[in-house]
Amino acid sequence: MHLLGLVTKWEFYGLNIVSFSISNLTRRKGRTSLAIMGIAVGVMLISSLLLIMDGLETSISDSVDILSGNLIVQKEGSIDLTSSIVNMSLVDTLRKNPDIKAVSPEIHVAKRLDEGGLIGFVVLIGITESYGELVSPSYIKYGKIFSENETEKANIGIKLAEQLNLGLDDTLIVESFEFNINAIFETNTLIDSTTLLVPISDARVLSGLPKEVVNIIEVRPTNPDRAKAIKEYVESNFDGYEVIFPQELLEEGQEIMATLRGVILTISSIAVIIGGIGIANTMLMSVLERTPEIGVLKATGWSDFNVSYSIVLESIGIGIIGGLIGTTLGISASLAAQEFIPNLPVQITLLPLSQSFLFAIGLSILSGIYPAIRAARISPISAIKGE
Amino acid sequence: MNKSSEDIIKIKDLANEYRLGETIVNALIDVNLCVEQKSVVSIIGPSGSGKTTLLNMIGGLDRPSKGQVIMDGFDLSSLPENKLYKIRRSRIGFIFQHFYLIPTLTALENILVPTIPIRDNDFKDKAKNLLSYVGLINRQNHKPSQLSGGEQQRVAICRALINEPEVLLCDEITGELDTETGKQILKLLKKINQEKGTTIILVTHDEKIAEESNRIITLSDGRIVNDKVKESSI
Repeated sequence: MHLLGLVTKWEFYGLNIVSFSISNLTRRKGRTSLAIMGIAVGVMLISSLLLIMDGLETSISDSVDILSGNLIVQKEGSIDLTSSIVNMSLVDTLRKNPDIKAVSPEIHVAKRLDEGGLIGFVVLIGITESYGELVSPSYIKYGKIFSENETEKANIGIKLAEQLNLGLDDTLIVESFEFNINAIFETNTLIDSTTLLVPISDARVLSGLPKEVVNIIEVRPTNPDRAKAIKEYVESNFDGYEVIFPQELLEEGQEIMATLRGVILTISSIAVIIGGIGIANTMLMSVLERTPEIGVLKATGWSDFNVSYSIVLESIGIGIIGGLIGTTLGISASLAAQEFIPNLPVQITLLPLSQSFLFAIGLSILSGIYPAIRAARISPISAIKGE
Repeated sequence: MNKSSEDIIKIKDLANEYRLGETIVNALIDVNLCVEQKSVVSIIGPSGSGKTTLLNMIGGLDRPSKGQVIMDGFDLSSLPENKLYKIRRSRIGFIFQHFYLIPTLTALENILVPTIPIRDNDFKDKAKNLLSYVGLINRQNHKPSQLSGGEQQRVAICRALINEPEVLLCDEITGELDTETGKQILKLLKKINQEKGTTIILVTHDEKIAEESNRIITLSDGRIVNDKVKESSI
């Protein structure tokens, strides 16, 4: 039985150039294993990062989908929702606009919990009852949304609740507040593991914002076609405010993710390329060691192409095994990362795994070319003489 | 130069020179030779006399500086490499002093190595027959490390015979074997020559081995200095 049982005894499949090449890989098991591990580590890195990146992108996209059709009124040029300040008087003005169906003032506060979500932070969104007009109530999985007059009540994302081991009627302490959990929501997005909906009055205390302002106002148009008219109305009548579409946030997020993906891919590709150099080194050593034998192959009628092909096949063999181990480790590593960082969205899909695997195969082919050329150039005479 | 209508190899004005530093070394000088089909020819001579160089030229492994090596009408000295390997594959079998068996393959698989590029599974039965022929059928699944030197050389002979070559070129093939095993190998070659009609050219520095053949060519300083045809064959 040859390596990993991929090629069994020739009696069944016939001794061919593939089984011959794979059998050569078993000669120096230690060296072959190191070359395999070199490529596997690179593939593991690249595949796990791609799985995490894909998960993050999907989660961000889904989070924005929840707000689909809504508009956000914020202070012009705000870099995030917590830094924006909008006057509450705008809420009443917007409610009178016939193009607007619902208006929800919100205060966004980021607080660190000892046992919090993503890197310890949770986002508290202070809302009023009108928030229910913007977001579908179908997201509430257990319990019910608090009423406007209540305080120290919280609706918690299901993953955050699991992480903090909280259920309905349990208490979550954030600074001086003891929030009673009266609902658990599930959106299947990043929000589930980061967000707490609380009465706006409590959020105001936590944020330190004065009574007459909020961070943002979320607006739902009567008809999606009216979104642009609302944007023009706000931006032309109220100085210092801007209206953004959640889609724009998504696009910004996607741009950032694309840049991040590029950086990550570059770094992890370097790791795979180093693995490829390891393959080239292994194959070159193997060719040098087997010089007399290659001479005999040529003397017995192997063409230069046959010799080169056999060497490249060995290299591909390392790439395939390294790629398979690497992608398996990549899945394990990304799932392990999720264990350590529970809010980390990981999406196990075929595309990033196959991309990483094919990258390893492509690189192994390239790595095998130079040793293959060297092998083909070996003169049978000098090879047999052992020169 | 002996001539015959059944000559399988014709060597005309063969010369080979190479540079060693500032000096030009003449490895072969004006060698003219014909080898009859089904004959057994020994090439002897001291070290550096050009024996192995001549054998390599006959096998198409090396190219002469001048002259021709014609095998079955093919001029090996002028054939391009992409045609030469086909001649080596189909008409010539090589046996070396060091057996050069592949350690990860069994005896049977080693015999099949020259046939790998041909992609023909029919060779499997032929390989088994060859192992039976050399008395190693019960060792077919043994790796080289599990075989004695004589057994490994017999496997190497089978490897050389798998493509049914017309000419078997043997370079010091008893060099790594004890006297008794060496005799057995020579006996086997005699059997191959008589039963299969394979032409055998033996390079050796051992005159006792050469005495077993029916023609002895002596080389010295790249020239044929003696060409003795014996009455009895090995």
